[in-house]
Amino acid sequence: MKLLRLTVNGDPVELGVRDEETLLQVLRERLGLTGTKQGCDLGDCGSCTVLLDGEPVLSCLVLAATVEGRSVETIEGVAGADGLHPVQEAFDEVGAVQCGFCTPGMVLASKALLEKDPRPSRSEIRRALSGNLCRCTGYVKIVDAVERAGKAYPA
Amino acid sequence: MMPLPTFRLERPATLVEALRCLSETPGSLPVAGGTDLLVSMKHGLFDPPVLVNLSGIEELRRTNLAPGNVELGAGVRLATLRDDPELRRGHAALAEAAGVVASPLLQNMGTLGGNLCLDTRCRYYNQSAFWRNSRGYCLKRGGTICQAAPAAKRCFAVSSCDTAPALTALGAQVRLARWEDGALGLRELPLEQFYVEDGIERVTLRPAELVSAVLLPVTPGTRSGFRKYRVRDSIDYPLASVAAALRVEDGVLRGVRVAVGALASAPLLAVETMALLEGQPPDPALLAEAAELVTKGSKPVKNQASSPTYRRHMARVMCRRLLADLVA
Amino acid sequence: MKREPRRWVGRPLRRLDGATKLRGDALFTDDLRLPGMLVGKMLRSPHAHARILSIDTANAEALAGVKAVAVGEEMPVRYGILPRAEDETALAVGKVRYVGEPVAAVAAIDEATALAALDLIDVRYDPLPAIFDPREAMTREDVKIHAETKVANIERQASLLFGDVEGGFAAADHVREDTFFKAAATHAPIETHAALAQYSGGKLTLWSSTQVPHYLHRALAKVLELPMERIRVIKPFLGGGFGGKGEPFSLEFVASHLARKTGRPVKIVHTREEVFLSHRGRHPMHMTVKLGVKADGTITALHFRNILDGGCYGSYGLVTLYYSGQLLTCPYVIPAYRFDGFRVHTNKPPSGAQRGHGGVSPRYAIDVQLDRVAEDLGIDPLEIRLRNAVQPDSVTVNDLRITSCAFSECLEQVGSAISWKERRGKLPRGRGVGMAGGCYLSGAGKAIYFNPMPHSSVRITADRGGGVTVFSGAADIGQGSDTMLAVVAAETLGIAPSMVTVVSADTDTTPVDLGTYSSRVTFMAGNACLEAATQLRDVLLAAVAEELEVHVDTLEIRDGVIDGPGIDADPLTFADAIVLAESRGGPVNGVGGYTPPELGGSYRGAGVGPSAAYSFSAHAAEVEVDLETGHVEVVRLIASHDLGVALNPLAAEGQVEGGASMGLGETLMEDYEVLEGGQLACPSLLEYRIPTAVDLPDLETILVESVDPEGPYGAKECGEGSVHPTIPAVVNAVYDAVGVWLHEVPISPETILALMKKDQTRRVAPRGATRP
Repeated sequence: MKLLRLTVNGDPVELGVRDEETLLQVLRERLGLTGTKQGCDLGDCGSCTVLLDGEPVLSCLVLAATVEGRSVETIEGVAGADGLHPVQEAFDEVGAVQCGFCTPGMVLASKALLEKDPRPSRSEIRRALSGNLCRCTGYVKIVDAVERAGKAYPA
Repeated sequence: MMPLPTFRLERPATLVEALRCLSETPGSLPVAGGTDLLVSMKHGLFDPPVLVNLSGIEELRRTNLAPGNVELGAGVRLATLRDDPELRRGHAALAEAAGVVASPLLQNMGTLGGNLCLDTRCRYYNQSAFWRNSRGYCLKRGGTICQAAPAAKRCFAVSSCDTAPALTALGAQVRLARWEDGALGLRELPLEQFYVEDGIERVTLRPAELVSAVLLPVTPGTRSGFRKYRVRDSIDYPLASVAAALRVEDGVLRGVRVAVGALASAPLLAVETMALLEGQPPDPALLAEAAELVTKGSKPVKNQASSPTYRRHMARVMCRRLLADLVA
Repeated sequence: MKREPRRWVGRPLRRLDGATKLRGDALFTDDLRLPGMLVGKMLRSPHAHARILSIDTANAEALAGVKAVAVGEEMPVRYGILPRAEDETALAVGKVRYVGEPVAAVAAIDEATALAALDLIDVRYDPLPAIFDPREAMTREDVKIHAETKVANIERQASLLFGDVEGGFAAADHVREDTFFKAAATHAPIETHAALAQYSGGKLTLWSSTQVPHYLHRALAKVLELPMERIRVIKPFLGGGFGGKGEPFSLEFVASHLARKTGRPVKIVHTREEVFLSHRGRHPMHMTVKLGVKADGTITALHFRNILDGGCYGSYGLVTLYYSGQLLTCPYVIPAYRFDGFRVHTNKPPSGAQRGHGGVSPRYAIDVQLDRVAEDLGIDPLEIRLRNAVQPDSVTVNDLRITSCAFSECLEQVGSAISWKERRGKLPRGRGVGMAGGCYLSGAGKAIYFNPMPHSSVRITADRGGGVTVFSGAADIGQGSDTMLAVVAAETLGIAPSMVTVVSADTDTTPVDLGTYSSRVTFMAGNACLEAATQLRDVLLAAVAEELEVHVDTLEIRDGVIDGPGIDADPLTFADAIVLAESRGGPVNGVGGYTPPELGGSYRGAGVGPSAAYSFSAHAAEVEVDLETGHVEVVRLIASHDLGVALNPLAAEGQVEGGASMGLGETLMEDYEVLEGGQLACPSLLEYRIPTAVDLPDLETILVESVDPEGPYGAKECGEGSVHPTIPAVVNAVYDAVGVWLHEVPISPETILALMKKDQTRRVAPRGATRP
């Protein structure tokens, strides 16, 4: 067991975690943040993507006890009280959501990309999202959404 | 979910502390990005009593890109290598290789040292405990025969790291650190001596020894590159890869080094290709002839997607194209 | 036909649940938690074929934290999605037939305890010989996977004969026969299967990731021996199905049984490997196509033979078998047709229904064969398709009724988008374009079990605030059927979709819908919703007419306001109308149901294939083939789809793009391979490769509207037909690029290289060779 202190969606969190618990388990099972999805638990699908200090990582392969003192952003932290984040807004507007299971990971990976580069090319978007599998959309509208969302960022 | 087996997690802040932890409990394992080891642990391939987390060790993340002396800490993230413009200029093969490891998400997590120490892979090994129990265990874990080549006496699991052939071509050395007789012991090895062409033994690490850094020679004028064959253009491990480094001086090729990956249990230096090209003008016909030799010495078996014949073919095509690009 | 202008139909509309999903608030089955909930896990067979000699669960039961252990004998009642193929039990009874078949299960306080308990269950097996090739299984009388099969392991043979086939071939100027193989594929939804069961007060509630709540409801009643009224099935948000959640699964019975046994809620979530083991994906098909044509390309006869590798249980297989034959008489006119098919058992996970059910692999064979015949005769592939294209208001040789049909337009549109005439056969070596067609049903004409009830039912209630709630049993699995229902209700009632709430897929609160399969929901639930909304509108307008003393026909509802004579300065709102109507006779609502018309012939097998409407599609692909590596890059894929009317173009495009992307995955990389021994070669999303964002081009969609006379606002299906033409379009493009025909899919660069080498040593045929 380890006492773990971290920031989740801007809030301080303190809890005891077993050494072998993954960040995904802690988020979903301990903190009730079920917006982070589990699609394979082996790092192959990208559904469990969260931002760790702003970088997208796969929470199924992160030991919770190793993120001591760090900042985690999950899908629940993306929208503000005043509505959807521009990335979410764009996904909704262009029809980039179907079943919605890959969506949290896609949104977070897209947000991380746009924060570094708000005007990525379509192929750069595809590359950045290539670790997040979607079986519904064929990715076209997801790429459309990220392109559109980028315009909401200062260039 | 696929729960991890239980273990004690150590979170040392220094290299020495980490080495001590490793030496105190036999069977303990280091973990950095976790992208390889944790998957294998979920599959029941490893059940270490102690995991030593290296990600909190600042000194392993140090890099020194000074001219003439490039030193990369083993804890540097693959994404950092991928995005470093300096590295992309001087040691393109490494930056390119780092940029095609698995997916961008895994590049954010995985480290250089972790990639170099990636376990060898095989269709009959990288499976769940249920699967391997059903199939029968293999030489590499728990069994007495190789499931891919039952007549063989050895393990053919494939060296699947992308940075290793790149660094081999670049003439890199690894620095290894261990805790011995109460003191820090360091040694440096050329990368080709670090690997063992055997799916089980695979590296020459001693117990409680770690890769702490990679040392890269800087030779002005060197051009290098990396090519990888996989079915999907993301996520997948390599089915074959080629890395090359060379200089063109006074119209002839100098310092030619070519390595192939994913065709054996270690990256292989393509010595015949190198010998044929060294000191010769970069004539397309000669490059093609040299590329044909690049798979000499590799005899992969059918333990991955794609046939061994085709994987070797791909290595030769990629080699010719890479050489052509480098001399262009 | 052009459609009438509409207020909401045809406008790109955001999903009702988009923001919920985007915020991470949408609760999928695995996101649900109940107090005292236990974790269920299943023990699976390591053998491909074995008798179970004994199961000793004593040690598992003794483990601290284990609350119950279950074995097959506790639930011996057989089930299966098709009444004629009820051949499965929730846990194996007596025998296992594939590696991974569930044998026992535990419920424990947590996952680790449950897994530890599985290790303590001692199962003794007597291994039996196992068969993995259907062609072998067809004749092996000595190895019986099911004792009931009469001939070896043939589950069913189907033969269909329509028209004068021999005469058709005799009258042909050219006859060509070839064989094709399409490997198995699997659905690979990103959400794994999950089920949460609660048994309390004598009633079972099951939350499950199911596409078919109603069929599951019936199967639970049967297997658990509980009356249906003591069972409630709820489908929470569902993370993709594609057919893979389209029938009852072991975990649903087991979770329910364990909940009843323990008195505590039990949740079972499949690991990714278990999803691959559950499978029910595309049948491997060994196909032979004999096609006869006149010199001008007009088809005279077709003989199609197909051996389907069914795996070890029935699943949807009998329907797959018939679909694989029945759907080939469209979209090309086949005047004489013969089909001989076999569905055969092997010791593999069961094959079943996957997006485009039954028709995808045969479509590959037929549309490639059509190109081969065209090439033999020197006819342009677009030309031969247009010449044979099925026309509206016609009947196929096997009695399929075609009404709305814009197939020719689909072909022309993709041809024009890819500049077919200028480019086909004229691109530099390595670059090529190809084309193929397809069609699919808008829901099966017959239910899976015989019953006289509507296939879809909808109830709409209205509240005094002016909102309406649509209750429908239809399962939104991500395709957007809830939003579709809102569009239909809003259009019909003259209110904004934002005023519509949809409650769906809950057997206690929503009227029955047969479920999400065979591309039926838009057509059938949409029609039921249209009828229910019309009824509600009529009730409301009648009340207004009575109040204003005007004739009801003079009134209409537009943008939430009642319009008509006698309504002047003071507008009467939709909410006012509800209050008026309610004050006359209690709560107001509307109900509607949809039953397909009696369709099809009277021959054996005639029940599979008829549909009230068919979609049509054509895809054009452009490929770049690396001449040295054989690697195929699909540079462009243009997908046209005659969907009647696009109720919501955003959703419709999404369906077409999704279908085409699955088709591309199956063409280029997906192979659900079973190793000799029965283990899956690729039981992970690492090794079973579905395309990533960098593996697909920007798919281009062309929606073609034919305005179906019976579809809701003219709509018909678009989710499954969109897979059909993809594979042959790419294969035909590869031929255009490098001159080799690929008779096996997924296509392999290695095969392409080998064929190119063979082709070079033979001769280099000039482009557009004349007929032999």
